Amino acid sequence: MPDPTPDRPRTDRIRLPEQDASLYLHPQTLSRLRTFELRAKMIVEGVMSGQHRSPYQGFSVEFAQHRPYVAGDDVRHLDWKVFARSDKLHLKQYQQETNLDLVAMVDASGSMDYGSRSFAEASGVGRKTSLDGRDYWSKFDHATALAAAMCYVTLRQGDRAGVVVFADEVRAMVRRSSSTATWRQVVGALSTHPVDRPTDLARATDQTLAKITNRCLLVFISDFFEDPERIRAAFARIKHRGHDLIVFQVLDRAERTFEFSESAPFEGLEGEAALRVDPRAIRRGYLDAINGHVERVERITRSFGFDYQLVDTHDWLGPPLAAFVARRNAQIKRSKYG
Amino acid sequence: MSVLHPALLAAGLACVAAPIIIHFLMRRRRRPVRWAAMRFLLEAYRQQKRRLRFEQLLLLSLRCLLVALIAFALARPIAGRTGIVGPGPRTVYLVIDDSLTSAATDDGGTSALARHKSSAEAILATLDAARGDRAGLLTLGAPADAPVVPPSSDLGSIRRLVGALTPTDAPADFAGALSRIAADLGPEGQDRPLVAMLSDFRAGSVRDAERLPELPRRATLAATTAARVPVSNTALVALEPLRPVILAGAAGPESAAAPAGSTQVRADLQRFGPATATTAATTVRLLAESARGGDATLIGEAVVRWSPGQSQATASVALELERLAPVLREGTSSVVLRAEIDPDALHRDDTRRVSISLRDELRVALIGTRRGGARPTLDAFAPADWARLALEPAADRFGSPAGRVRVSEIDPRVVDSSRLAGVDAVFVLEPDAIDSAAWTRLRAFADSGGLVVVTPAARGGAQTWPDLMLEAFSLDWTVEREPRTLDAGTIAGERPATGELDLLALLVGELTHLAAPVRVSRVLAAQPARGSGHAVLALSDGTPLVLAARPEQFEAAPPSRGVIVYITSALDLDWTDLPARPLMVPLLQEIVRQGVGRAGGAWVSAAGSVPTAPPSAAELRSHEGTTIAVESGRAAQPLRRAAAWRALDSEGVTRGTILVNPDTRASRTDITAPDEIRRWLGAATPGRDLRTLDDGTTSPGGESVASLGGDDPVTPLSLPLLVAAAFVAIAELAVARFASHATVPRSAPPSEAGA
Repeated sequence: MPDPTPDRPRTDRIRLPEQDASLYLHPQTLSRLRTFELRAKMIVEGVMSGQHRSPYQGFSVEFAQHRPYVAGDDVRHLDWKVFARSDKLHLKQYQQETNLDLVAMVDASGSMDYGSRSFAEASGVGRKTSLDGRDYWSKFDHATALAAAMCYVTLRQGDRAGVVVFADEVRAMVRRSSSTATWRQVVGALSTHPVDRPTDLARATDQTLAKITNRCLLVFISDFFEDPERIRAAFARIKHRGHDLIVFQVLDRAERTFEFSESAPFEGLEGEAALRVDPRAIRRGYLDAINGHVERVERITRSFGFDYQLVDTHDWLGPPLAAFVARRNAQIKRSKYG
Repeated sequence: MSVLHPALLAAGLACVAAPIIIHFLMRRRRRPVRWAAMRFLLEAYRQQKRRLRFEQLLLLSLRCLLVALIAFALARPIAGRTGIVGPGPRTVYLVIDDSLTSAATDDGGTSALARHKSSAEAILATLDAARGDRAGLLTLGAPADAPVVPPSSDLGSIRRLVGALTPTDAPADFAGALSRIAADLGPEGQDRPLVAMLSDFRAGSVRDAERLPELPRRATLAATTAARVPVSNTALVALEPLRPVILAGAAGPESAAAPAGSTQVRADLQRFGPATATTAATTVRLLAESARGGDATLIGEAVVRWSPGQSQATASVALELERLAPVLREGTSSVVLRAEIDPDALHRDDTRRVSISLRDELRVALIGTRRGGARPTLDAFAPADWARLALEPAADRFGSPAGRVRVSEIDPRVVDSSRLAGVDAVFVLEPDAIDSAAWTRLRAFADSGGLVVVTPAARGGAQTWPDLMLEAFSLDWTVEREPRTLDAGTIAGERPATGELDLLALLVGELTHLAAPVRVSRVLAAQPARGSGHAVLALSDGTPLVLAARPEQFEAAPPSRGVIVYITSALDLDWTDLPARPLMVPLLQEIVRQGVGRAGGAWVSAAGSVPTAPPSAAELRSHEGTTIAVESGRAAQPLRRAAAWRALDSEGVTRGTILVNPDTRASRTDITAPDEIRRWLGAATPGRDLRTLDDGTTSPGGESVASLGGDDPVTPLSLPLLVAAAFVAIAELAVARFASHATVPRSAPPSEAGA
């Protein structure tokens, strides 16, 4: 049975050394990620052309498709050859290749402060406790490491990366940039801790999308302890705005196995009332509930054509992340050229 | 069904709360677990809440039931028996007659108490503690005692108590015993107890005028049949010296010379049973023993010759005082006289004790003013002069009276405790001259064993002092305020019935002759209420001339030892010519000597009473070494056996002697008619049959005591309950394992979904 997590020392904001990427990126993770490039599955908007497909269909770039003319369209884009052959007005559409804009959205709600893995074993940097005194590796620790890894890879390939930390609202944000100072800003933004607030995914999504003008690759890293319909609404807005999305659902292994054996009062981390229950008696029902929720989140994610990955805080971050990126790039190539 | 150990059952049932208490204690000891996925936990709990509560309640109920079953099993419940005492375990109250009458022996030398003990043991043999039978034990010697009430299942201890019973010298107290049983049973109950009366119901035990209390209806009363063979018995019913205080001249511990003179001791005897019809002779022996015990010395003897049909007789034993010298040499002035008669079938009433005190002199204080002067004329004599003259007569012709009364005077205005100290008697001759405080001191003087003699003030007009006197001595008397003038009142030759304070018993023979010339012309009459004193001497018209009483006392306080005597006529020639008549000297002398003897003499009581102890006494010690504490001026428990008890203070100094004599009301060994017994005992169980027990000796025809047990088996329920507890324990284990969900396979974490 995992030990109950000790009370976390509460400080409003603990700043870590911004240059200490090893707190977020385990050496094994870094070594596995250096050989990969992150490609957008969908066409994203960027200022650089070449590597990524652009959502803009213009003149001087690769032809994409024809579409019927409707009133108000620019007549300069009419394909006169088609009009001459078929006596129908069609517009020519093109695709632009541009760079990748990645925005990592990290959940810092209260539920992310749970962990049953020891900090010394998970951090890999020789520390027994975190800088704020915790001896356990929380889901938030795992989420920030994952976000840092994504940003690290993006910045290394010259693309722009940004970070959003949210709970019931956006708590911190780093604007997308590919400059060398961005990494330090990312590390600074991730150097916070969860708040005793529940997740409000829709609101955080709205606030984030309001700050994004071009199309991006969004990476949601959360436990998604949220109402599935609100998750669906948030993903729908992202889809509607034409962004790509990768969903990482971070769960602690204790949450997935619930291997408690003695009756005890369970206290929620987001202000829920304490519940005294015999865990052995309720285990089956609990596992059914949480597994059903995980399946629903995955189903919702995939229903919008987004990618989904379940992450266990007891697993190393590097191998599954590398495998995920590889699978994703392969899919992109198949859809582009196949 | 009933249980053998109800206390164990109560304790076990109290333990039923243990699982509940443990449940709550375990809840409080748990350390809270911080948990993120509360929404899923709450969702699962909401879905399974009813099932979980049912499981917990079922588990808790099974655990409580398990404890309750074990408690019931340990309490040894039984069921299913019937018998004379009804279904369920039997409860028998053994009421054994150990009164004075129970010591009467039959021709074989077996006492009634021995038979009662055998019957009780036979009844106990029919009981079985393992089946839940219980027995109580009560003894009838007054006041009835209850050594084992409420009943106990420790039958062995009860059997030992029964075997150790010895006769008492008190009468039987059936009413007290039945009251104790009724109180113990209470008005409601499930049991059907049997009250077994083991007595011969001889005339000395049965008081048919006594109303017996009613037992609860569920109780059955069974009694041995009344004895049918009368037993001859001669009892020493009274023993009284002529004077309890003897003025023997040079006597007492400080005197080296032996006391001189003689006196008499009167012994009253009574015969019962068949011997009443025969001619017989009974020897009365008088022995002297010191208050500290030791060997008794035979000091006198008399023989009573009975004629056929004679049941009462009196013997006078001459007592030569010089024969008391061996006892007096032990350093005491008090001598216990013990009278014995020839032993008979009931030997316990063949002995009686009384105490006499040998004194050099008596000290009397006169509260009044002498007016006579050195050579007064008769007209100038005041009451104090007459009293002194009567109490301190001139020396006889040898100039040295054998014993005398020393008279002193106290000014009526200064009656204080120091002046009353060391005085045996006080004459209040001018009562209108002392105040209420003085009356209060006189009351204290009387309570300490003093004699107070009061006469009216020798004057005319209204007198108000009687109110103070009556209040101080708590007397329920009616005293006139105005002197009543009589037309040459004479003293009646016949003395009224006097009762305990018969101060003039020695004057009986000469009273008529001495009283004849006395004329009483004025009295301040008084009339005592019933039970509050009596007239010792009266005038021809019935007006009391001399009244005697003991001061009344509140119920909680020990009775007063003092004596108050009221002479209704002042010792003045204007009131009566008694002072100038020959009766004056013997009258005052007897009042003083008998009054002092009864006020401060030995403390005699009948067996079965709670005697009052002398002042400062802390404990009572018998010659055999038995010790009884003194509480609030009384013995801490009733003294049921005749003996001489020394009253010792906290430093071990003897403060007096308490003599306990047999209560000869119980000496009547005549038989009682069975119908009379049945009717008398029937009052305790109205409307129900009185069961008769046959102890197999004197009263065949009743139910055998062995039939009390019945033959119906009882069914012990402990084993079935233990088996049931085992099943419940197995069920509890199964439910606990199911409710713990330890068998639920742990599902593996869901596999990671790849992108």
